[in-house]
Amino acid sequence: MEKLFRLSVVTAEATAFEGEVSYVNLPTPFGSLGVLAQHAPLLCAVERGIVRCTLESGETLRIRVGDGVASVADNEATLLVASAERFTE
Amino acid sequence: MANLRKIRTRIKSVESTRQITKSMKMVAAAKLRRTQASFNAQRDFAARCAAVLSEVSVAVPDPHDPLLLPHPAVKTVCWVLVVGNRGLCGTYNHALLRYVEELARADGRDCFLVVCGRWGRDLLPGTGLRVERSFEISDTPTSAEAAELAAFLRELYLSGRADEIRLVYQQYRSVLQQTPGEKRLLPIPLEEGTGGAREYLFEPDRDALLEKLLGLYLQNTVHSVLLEARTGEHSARMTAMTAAADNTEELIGELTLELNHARQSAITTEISEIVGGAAALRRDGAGAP
Repeated sequence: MEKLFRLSVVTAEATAFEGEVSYVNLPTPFGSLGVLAQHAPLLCAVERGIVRCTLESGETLRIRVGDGVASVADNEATLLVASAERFTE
Repeated sequence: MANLRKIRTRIKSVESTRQITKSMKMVAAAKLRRTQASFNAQRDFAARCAAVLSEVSVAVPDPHDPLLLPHPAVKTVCWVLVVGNRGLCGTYNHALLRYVEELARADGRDCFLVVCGRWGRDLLPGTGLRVERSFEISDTPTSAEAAELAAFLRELYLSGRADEIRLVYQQYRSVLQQTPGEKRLLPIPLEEGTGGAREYLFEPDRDALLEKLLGLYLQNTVHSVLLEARTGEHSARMTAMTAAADNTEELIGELTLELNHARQSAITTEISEIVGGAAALRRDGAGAP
């Protein structure tokens, strides 16, 4: 079983997502960046784009996000973004 | 009879006032709930943002971002005055206006105002304070409105038109209590980082990230202050309107009592007139053969 870590996607208006995930892919100014559990402490800029994360159940969730910052530390990832909206294809 | 009619008209007018104050109270309560919900969500975001910023400030020991550095000499201060959109909310707006006048006088440096909110357009020119610009802020401030204001203030600071920017607003203590207060926005007061000495990776690099984070922080602070001020405004209006509705209730009670008194004395007079008339008739009848 894959290791999990906590992800929160927060905007000034609401918390768009909060839960355990096994993988998250972030859109950054220098390309997409994948984060797994036990990632080294990281602070990175996030660009407008789509965050893809794999949930505990194996499902993939897509969240459209605005500009912002991501912080990863202690097996917890926090995305502070201007906007966030879940969507399904 | 004229007196009775007068009292009835009076009661009717007080009743319609009661209806108005009651509905205004209801509207304020609904708006308060909405603003408070955004305020709470925003507070969570602000706390997380501050945590990240404190981590970065530890990692960047010697920041040289222009938003953090104070200007060498503070000659001009910009007060950002967040007033309500409407009146009828007790002393909310007036207390704030007095507070900012006091501040400007005590400060002594050259200063000007940036006003957020519709209230006081006619009052402000009388205070002798220069208004640089007014912003329209809705009853539940959105992040777009905050972004516009933050961008303007940032430009004001970076261009050197203001050496210090301070926010003046009613701080929200509870539904019943708001106190005028102020807080420095620019240069950004960076708290001593309390974050652990973790070795962070930075992408793309520290300075770029710090710049982005500061932008986020600025907008965030402005947004939270706007929300706090509006939450206070709605609660002040709700409290004022509750008091007004209670007063009309009391007034209606008094007037009804007065009306009943007047009606009773009118009836008493009428009865005594009838009794007197009947007695006179009887006396006349007895006297006849």
